Amino acid sequence: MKPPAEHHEASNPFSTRFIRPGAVPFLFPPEQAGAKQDLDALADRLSSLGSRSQIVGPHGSGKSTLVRQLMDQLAQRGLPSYLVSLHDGERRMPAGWAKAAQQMAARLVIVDGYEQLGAWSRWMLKFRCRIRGWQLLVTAHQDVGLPTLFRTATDLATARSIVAHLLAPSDKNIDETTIADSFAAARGSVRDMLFALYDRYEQRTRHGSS
Amino acid sequence: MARLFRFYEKKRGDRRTGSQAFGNFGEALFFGIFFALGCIAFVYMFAVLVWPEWRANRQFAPTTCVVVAKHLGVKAATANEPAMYRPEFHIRYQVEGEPYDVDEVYDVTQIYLPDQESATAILAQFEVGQEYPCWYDPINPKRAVLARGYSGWLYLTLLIPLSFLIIGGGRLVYALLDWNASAERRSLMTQRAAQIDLFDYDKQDRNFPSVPADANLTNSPGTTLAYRLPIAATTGWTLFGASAAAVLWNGIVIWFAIMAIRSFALGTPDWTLTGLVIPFAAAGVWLIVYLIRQLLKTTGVGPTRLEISAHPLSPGSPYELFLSQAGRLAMNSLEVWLVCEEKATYRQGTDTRTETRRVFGERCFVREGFQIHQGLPFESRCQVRVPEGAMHSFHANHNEVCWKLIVRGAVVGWPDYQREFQIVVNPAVNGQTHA
Amino acid sequence: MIHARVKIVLDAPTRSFNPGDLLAGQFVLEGIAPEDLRSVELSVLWHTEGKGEEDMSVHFFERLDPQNGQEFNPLLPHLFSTTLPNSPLSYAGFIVKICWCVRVRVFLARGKELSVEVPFRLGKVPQPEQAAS
Repeated sequence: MKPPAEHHEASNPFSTRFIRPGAVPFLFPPEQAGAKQDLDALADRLSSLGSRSQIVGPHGSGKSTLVRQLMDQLAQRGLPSYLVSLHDGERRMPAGWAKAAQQMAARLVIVDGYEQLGAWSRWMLKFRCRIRGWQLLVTAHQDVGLPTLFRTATDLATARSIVAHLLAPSDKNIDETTIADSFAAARGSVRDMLFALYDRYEQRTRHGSS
Repeated sequence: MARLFRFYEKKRGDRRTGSQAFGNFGEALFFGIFFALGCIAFVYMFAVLVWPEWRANRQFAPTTCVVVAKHLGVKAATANEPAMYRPEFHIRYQVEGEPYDVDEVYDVTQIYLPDQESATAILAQFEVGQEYPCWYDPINPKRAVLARGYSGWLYLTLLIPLSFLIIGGGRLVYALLDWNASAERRSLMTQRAAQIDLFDYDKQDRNFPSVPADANLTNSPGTTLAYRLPIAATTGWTLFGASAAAVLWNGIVIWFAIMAIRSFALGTPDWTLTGLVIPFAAAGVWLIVYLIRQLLKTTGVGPTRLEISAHPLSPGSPYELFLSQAGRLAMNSLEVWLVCEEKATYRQGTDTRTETRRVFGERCFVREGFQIHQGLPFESRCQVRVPEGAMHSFHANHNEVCWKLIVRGAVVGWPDYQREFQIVVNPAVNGQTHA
Repeated sequence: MIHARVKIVLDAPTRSFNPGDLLAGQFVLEGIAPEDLRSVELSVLWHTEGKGEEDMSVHFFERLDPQNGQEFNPLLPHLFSTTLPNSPLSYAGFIVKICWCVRVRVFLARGKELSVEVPFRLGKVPQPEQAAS
């Protein structure tokens, strides 16, 4: 979601509602070694990987964002998917997830934050997916031993593109140096950078450039 | 396979998934065993130690007996345990004219001691052929004791099964509650609550949607002004938790420490046990220090009372405050602040974080360099006024604007303290404000 | 369909209201063929912006469902009005902002959706300044 053209007077383009996964588009890095990287290619690759796969990347590198866009892409191909997002030490899948996935005729189960699950829950998740014939896609910060669909990473150019997407063209409250400084301070986490830019934006719109 | 799957899925009810059911079952089983072990051990120790001692002290009837013989009872050493000793007496006494001859008598617990000297010393206190007071069980007169009292430190051992019982029982209850409340049910409740939030405005009696209710703030009348404000964060639970943790932890540590010390006393030092006990003992000391600090913080400064002339507050209107600070304190300063804070809760990756930003702060009262005497609390009045045009209190699931009164004290030779009192500010009448 | 759009016009051009005021206006659907229209939802709501997750609450809601026999001519302006509540007032804080708006969501054939909103102010709470603690 981009901040609407006719937004509220005190709107901050780095508000959570504009930067949450699904609101900001996932920006693929420039093509490397001729490998085409876009949602379409990713959807093709997902079907070729078999029953299980993973998206791996560091904190704030866009895994959740990518997953949500991939879901839309797959839905357009008639492949409904069911997403479970795990937070805050959720060691088990939420009760009823399998039934909910079944009800929506999902063919792919996506678990965002797979490393939260305990060993037993991981085993049960794989077991249930195998029995139901569901494909399983997980996101994790580290390799969890499944075939890798995509590795997310961040760079300053991507961070700049995301900020440009959020800011109105005429909005000069955040300059290139601020983006570079915030990105460095956030140690490569785009999410942390965007939170920091929220504060910078507030400072500048309230008190002018500082 | 389908049958097997069906079995997994349906066995725990039609709204449960297999993994969840197994997870819950495993958890409940584990803590159930924990709890059962605690129960068994507690009941056993109660039956062996507490109940007999209580009966001997309270219910046994006094009489006199003749010591016929005395000897040192010895429990032979085994591969794991050294020899143990206890005093044993053969006594003769009469109950309602009927003679009783009982052997191996001393106290009701009949516990063997690791220390031979202690047992011998007890034997030396009694002369064969002499009369001594004794107590017999009126239910079973063949049971008698030469000594009564309570075994002091032995009661600490009760902490071990008690900790099993509390931890196991608590977690078992939690697991069972979690089991019964399915996610579907929880989800349904959430959906209904959300629907009510979305559409029940017209049904609400309250005039100010999203402004927190002040029922909890006005249910305590003041002695001087209309309402006595409740303190925002109570330290009672922290203290209780810290006390319980310190007692349980140190109880267990003491038990193992005694075993370790005993091994040294007997000349067979158990280095593994000693090595294990040291870090646990260090943690126990830390817990005690933490508890003492909490106690000092809570009890060192006397209670702070804040009363207000009316509640909820309206921007622009003045309100009277009554401040009372008890204790025996040499104060550097005592201040009352009116503050407004924004609170936002957000998810950052797998963490849920809450950020707070203070957007208004005004000192309503200050007094410097004075003494507060025991039994004579410091009392003063002042005025507080939420600025015209200020934002009202607001509460939603992830966002808040909250107003509070903060009492800050700087005490000579003591850490500064701060006590917060939540208040509710309503929107200005008709939203008319003047910045 | 290519130029489908929704135009919301509030009667008060200042878009500034006090609690208890009547919010009135109309919306017009443009470039939408009646056969493509499934339903329309009109909401007067507040939502939060800022660093926290978004909270929202609907004050006034109207669903127009011509497919289910409800009378609604998409070619004509649709009038709406509601009395605004006493709270929450519009607020532009540092990390919490409360925004009021009129939102029209149009559900079209083939699962397509169109959403337009017009912000307005409720009350006159000024922007807070950073406070000294």
